[in-house]
Amino acid sequence: MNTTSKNIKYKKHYLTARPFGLFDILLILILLTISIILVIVFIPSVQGEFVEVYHNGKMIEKIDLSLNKNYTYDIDGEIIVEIKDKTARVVSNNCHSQICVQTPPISKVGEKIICAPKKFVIVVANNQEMYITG
Amino acid sequence: MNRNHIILKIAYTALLLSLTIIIGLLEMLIPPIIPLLPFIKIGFSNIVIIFTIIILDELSSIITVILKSLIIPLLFGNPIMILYSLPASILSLFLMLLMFRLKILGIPLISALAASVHNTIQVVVAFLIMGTTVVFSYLPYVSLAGLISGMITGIISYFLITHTPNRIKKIQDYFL
Repeated sequence: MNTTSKNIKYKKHYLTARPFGLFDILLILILLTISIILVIVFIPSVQGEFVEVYHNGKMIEKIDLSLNKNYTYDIDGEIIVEIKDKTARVVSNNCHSQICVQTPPISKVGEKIICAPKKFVIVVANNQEMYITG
Repeated sequence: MNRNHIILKIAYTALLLSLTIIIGLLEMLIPPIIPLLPFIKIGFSNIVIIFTIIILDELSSIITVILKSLIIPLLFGNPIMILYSLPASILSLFLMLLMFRLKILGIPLISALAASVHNTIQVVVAFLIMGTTVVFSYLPYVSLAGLISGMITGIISYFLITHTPNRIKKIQDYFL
C-alpha cells in the first residue's frame, strides 16, 4: 500500500500547489533558450525536390524544382513564382509589403517564402510524407 | 475502496476517455496552427489526462491514454497513426507520472516537458518507420512547439484543477 499513500500525497499537493516555482521558471527559460538555439543552428541544408504552394494553410500545388518555369497564381491579384536552377523565388506580387519578393531564392528542404497578407506560402520539400498525430 | 466506488471509478474513467476522444476529434477538424508544420497541434486532450491523474488515479490515466491512442486513429484516421501516437503517448504519460511523484515541478512545467518528449518520440518513430534522417530536421521545431503547447495546456490544467468544485475534488478520496 506504499505506492497508494504516495499517490494521495501528490494528488493533494497538486490541488493547492503554486503553478510556478523559481526552479520551474529557470528550467523553462533554459529549455526555451536551448531549443531556440537549436532551431537557429539547424538551418536547412538538404537540397529539395519540390516546392509546395500553400494558400490559407492548404496545399494547392506541388511544383517540381528541376524544371525551369514560371507559375502564376491568382490570389487577390497575381503572384508569380519562378523556378530557376533548382531554386524558387517570388518574382511578382501586387501586395503592398513586397516582403516575399525581397526574400532570397529558396532551395533547401524547409526553407519558405511567406506572403502574410495573402496567406500564401511556398516551401521546399522532398518526397517524404510525415504523419504525426496529437 | 468499496464496490460502489469501483463502479464510480469505471464510469468516470469512461467519461473522461470519451472527453479526450471528442477533444482529439475536434482538434483534427480545426486547420493547422502552423501551415508549414501541419502536424503540430496544441494537444488539448492533455488537459483531460492531467485532470484524470489528479482527480482519479494513475491506473485510470494509463487506461485512458492507451485507449485514446488506439481509438482516435482507428475511428477517424489512418491506422498507421497508432504507431506514432501510442508509444509517444505512453512514454510521455509515464514521464508525467514520474514527475508528479517527484513533486519538484509545477503542473505547467510537467506538461511542457511531457509534450516536448511526446513530439520528440514521434520524430524518432518517424525516423524508424521511414528510415531517413531528414525527419530529424524537424526535431528542434517540434520540441520547441511541445514546450510552448505543453505550457499552454499545463496552465489551462492548473486553472481547471484549482477551480474544480469541491464536490468533484472529493471524488479523489474515493480512489485512494
